[in-house]
Amino acid sequence: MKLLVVEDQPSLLDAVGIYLKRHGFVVDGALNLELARSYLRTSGYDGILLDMALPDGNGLDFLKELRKGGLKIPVIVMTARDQISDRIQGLEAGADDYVVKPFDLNEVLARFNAVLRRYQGAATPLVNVGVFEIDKSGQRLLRNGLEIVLTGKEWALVERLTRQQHAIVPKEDLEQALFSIDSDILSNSLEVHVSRIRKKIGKQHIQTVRGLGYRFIGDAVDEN
Amino acid sequence: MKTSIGKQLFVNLVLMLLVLWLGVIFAVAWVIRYETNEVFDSSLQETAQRILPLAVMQLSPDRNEIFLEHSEHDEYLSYQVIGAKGELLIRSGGAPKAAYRVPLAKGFYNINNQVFYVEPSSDKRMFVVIAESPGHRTSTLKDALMYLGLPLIVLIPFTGLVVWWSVRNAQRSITKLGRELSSRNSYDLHPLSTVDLPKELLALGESINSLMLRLKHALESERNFATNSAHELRTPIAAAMAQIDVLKDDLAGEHLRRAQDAKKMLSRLESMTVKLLQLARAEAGVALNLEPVNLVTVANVVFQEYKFNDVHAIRLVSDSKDVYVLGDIDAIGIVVQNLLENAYKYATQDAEIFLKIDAGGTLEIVNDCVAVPVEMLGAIRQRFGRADQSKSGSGIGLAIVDTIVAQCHGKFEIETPCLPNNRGFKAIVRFKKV
Repeated sequence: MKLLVVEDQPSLLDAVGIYLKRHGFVVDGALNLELARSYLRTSGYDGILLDMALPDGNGLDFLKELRKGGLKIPVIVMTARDQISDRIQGLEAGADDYVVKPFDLNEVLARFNAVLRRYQGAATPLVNVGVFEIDKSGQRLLRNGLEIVLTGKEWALVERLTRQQHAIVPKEDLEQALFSIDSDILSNSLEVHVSRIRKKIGKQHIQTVRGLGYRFIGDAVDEN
Repeated sequence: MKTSIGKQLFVNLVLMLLVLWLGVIFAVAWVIRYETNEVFDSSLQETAQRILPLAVMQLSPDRNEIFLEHSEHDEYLSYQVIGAKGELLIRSGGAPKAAYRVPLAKGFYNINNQVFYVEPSSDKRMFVVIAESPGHRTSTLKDALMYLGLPLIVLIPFTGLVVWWSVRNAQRSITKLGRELSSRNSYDLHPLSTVDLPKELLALGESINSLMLRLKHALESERNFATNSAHELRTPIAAAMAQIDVLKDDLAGEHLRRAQDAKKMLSRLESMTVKLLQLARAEAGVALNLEPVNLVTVANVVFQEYKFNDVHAIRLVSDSKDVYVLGDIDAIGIVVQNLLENAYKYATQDAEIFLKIDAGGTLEIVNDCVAVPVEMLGAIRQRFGRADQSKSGSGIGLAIVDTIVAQCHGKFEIETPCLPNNRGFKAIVRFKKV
């Protein structure tokens, strides 16, 4: 899962970014709207955490602009304004939810997961994909009720691959979900993470489709 | 007891008119008396001077008494011709048979309410005494005064009626202005309508409007300051709390406990600051601009804020999707927020919190807890009054609610206990339905 966090307070941006990365998200942080626009032009995101008051413009106007341009990803607005009218304005501008500063980062995470699930059409946090169960809010992969321990990046890959069972996910999409803009992408780093996941869940569950990408097969027959 | 301007004006005007009328009557009486005296005196004098030569010629040398026979008639004037020794020589029909007891010297005499004039002959051997009928002048004056004063019996009540009607009419604008001002609550700073005000009250109305405008601007500045201060304070506190959240993952034992304490204190600082700023906004009249507000929408937005808490389940129940009440959307938001926060803080562990809205515009927030003693109900609505000192809280939440609800023309009530077994706390806010 790749998120864009737009916040002009560097310390808050830094803390939110680190916290979300530790919980399996790939995070790009933008200190202003100009940077946010350029990130959105060059990379795809699964969600945006957007501050309302930014030095080069109003977050709500930016959100309206994005929605008008056809953006269909979850957006949560962060606001220091606690007035009901501000929140209603945020929702009317196209926000899916809002958090009032100061907030618990746990709460931000819970709200993001809830909104993401809503977008992916899963009302409950547990999704069955073949022999696996995906716990999106807990960011856990389970088989027969037992958790398969994954790192943040491994979880990000599994989450992206399991959104549509048997669908081929292009390599570029996976790389985008896996790496932030400022990280170095080694040519084989995606393959390295896929290989590690295969070792944990069985290589038959992630199929390489040459020249196209990868496919998750939850109901593949185990080899042993 | 306060006096009424109208009543005072009415009494003063009527008294003034009465005094004026009486003054005029007395002045006229004085003039009449003066003029009649002059005329009567002159006629007495003229009559005496006319009779005297006739009497001198007519009298025989024996100077016996002569009585002039005349037919009976009303005699306003009678006369006698008296000799130097006081003997009666001639008398008119109405004159007594005895000589008048007046000094025999030229001049006017008023004896027993009867006026006499004595004119002596040049040799002082004869005196003509002309006498008016007794009380003639007084009765003439009385008649004149009576005909002058009689219209007053009708004029005074009629004048009173006209004065009352005029005062009432002139006072109508003042009464209207006073009624408009007294019907407002202390936070209503809308300008007065000066269209129908008379010239004398226009300046007053415009001064009141200008004062209210200045007050409104001052209150708006105060509210904006409180709102912006809350905003400016929250962002650095949010950054500090988020950094502690990140730091906690790297800490353990004593260090972790200290980090958690620091976060708790920051959270308390933020909560206390926000509450004080909310109180400042409430007291500066946050609900000055009353308009229809959908209570369900506001409650739902606040409810969303609490839905991710893992301590209490909160249930929002509403009779209708839209319940419009009179208020200010942000002010009502503060009310719902404070009541829900209160319920959240004092509810028994794991107890459900109910947020109910009925179609009549009443909001109820119910939670299970030990009932608040009756003697504390007044105190908890005051600033810094708390029912349970062991719970952390600012103690001003209900005072904020009280202030805002009053501005919205609503009623805030507390019912405790409200659940079986002598338990529970129910906050009831009756908003004015639109």
